[in-house]
Amino acid sequence: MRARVVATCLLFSSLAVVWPAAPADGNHCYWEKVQKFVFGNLVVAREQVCPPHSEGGSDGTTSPINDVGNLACNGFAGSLQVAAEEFCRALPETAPAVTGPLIAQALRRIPIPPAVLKVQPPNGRTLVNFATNFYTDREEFTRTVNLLGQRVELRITPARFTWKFDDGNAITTTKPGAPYPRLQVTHDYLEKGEVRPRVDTTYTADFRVNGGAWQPVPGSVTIPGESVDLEIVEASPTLVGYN
Amino acid sequence: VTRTHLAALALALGVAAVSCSDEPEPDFAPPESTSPAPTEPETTSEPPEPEKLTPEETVRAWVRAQNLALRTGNTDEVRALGPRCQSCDDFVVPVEETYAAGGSYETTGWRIVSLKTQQKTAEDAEIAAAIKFSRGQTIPADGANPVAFGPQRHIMLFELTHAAKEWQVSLVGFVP
Repeated sequence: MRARVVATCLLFSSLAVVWPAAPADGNHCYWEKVQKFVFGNLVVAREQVCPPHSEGGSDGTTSPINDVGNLACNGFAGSLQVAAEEFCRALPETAPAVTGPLIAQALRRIPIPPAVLKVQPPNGRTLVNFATNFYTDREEFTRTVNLLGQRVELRITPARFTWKFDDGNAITTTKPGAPYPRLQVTHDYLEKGEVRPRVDTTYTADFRVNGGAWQPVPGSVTIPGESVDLEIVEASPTLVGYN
Repeated sequence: VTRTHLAALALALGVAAVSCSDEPEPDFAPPESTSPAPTEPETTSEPPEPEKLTPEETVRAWVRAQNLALRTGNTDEVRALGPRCQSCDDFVVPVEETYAAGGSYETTGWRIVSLKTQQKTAEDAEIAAAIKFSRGQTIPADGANPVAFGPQRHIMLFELTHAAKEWQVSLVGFVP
């Protein structure tokens, strides 16, 4: 193995000197965004990707990954006179395990769009002392991330909805509400005026690594919703005569 | 701290020592000396042109500045060394976010084990470096539980461009 590594380093160290990091065109190395843990933070970092037929890569007859990692990395390791075994592949005993807290950090960094609050009656107007209906359309969804070189699936569930009516009142439900006539979340405004209600969504998640068993992710993530304009008006009874 | 200060500091201090220990020596910038500078004969009224950092010195200064950021949350220096470097944000922004949330880091940070210029023209340069990240723990936010992390070793590439008469880091990335 050692001889093989040394041979690889000798073979590719000179090639690595002219290694370009050019846009992907099938023949050059390029930069790809990947998720990595750096000092306990999950960061989106740049990682060089070199296609098998790229300049400075392998001869095209073999995969660019060998027993000690990427051949480009081996080349640089040779050039830098460091051991490719140490620098070109995360060693299992030193790589942190994919644990719940790490997944929780990953969950916090997944972009989740804010929930859209829908109000009935529509068109931004409702009545005083009227059961104004609120709902949103959040549903369970999945995301897959590459974490510490492992495929991690996240099943993300909207667990709680906090409805902020902007008149000093708020309620929390486990249901996202529903459009009329299936009223689930309603609120009566007691005074006329203008308010900007919103719904904040709290997500919980389960995860599994490399297709294994699902496990709960500790904690939750709350995504504030976007406020909508709502005018509350008074309605006066009016007798209408028919001729 | 200006680039001129960084240049003077880097030249005065030389380059970081290389160690074979698993617990890397940090590339922290030592505090500035308070001892008086040796007297220079006054031969001209023009201030001397400040020495500029070479590409390799710029990378070493960037690593020291990154360690300063990890230690204190101050990212001014590391940003000054790569003002147009978007990939530098991959490393800088998490530090800023952690300190903004009241968190901190307990680590000796990055250490350059080996460093070599891969290519260099008048306009740009590429430096490869073998880097060790030391073990430690992160407190993500005020009152949060610490997140422990182990040591890592990486081959990293630094791309630099020559702009405004000085070398600036334009990309930092991993070679997996």
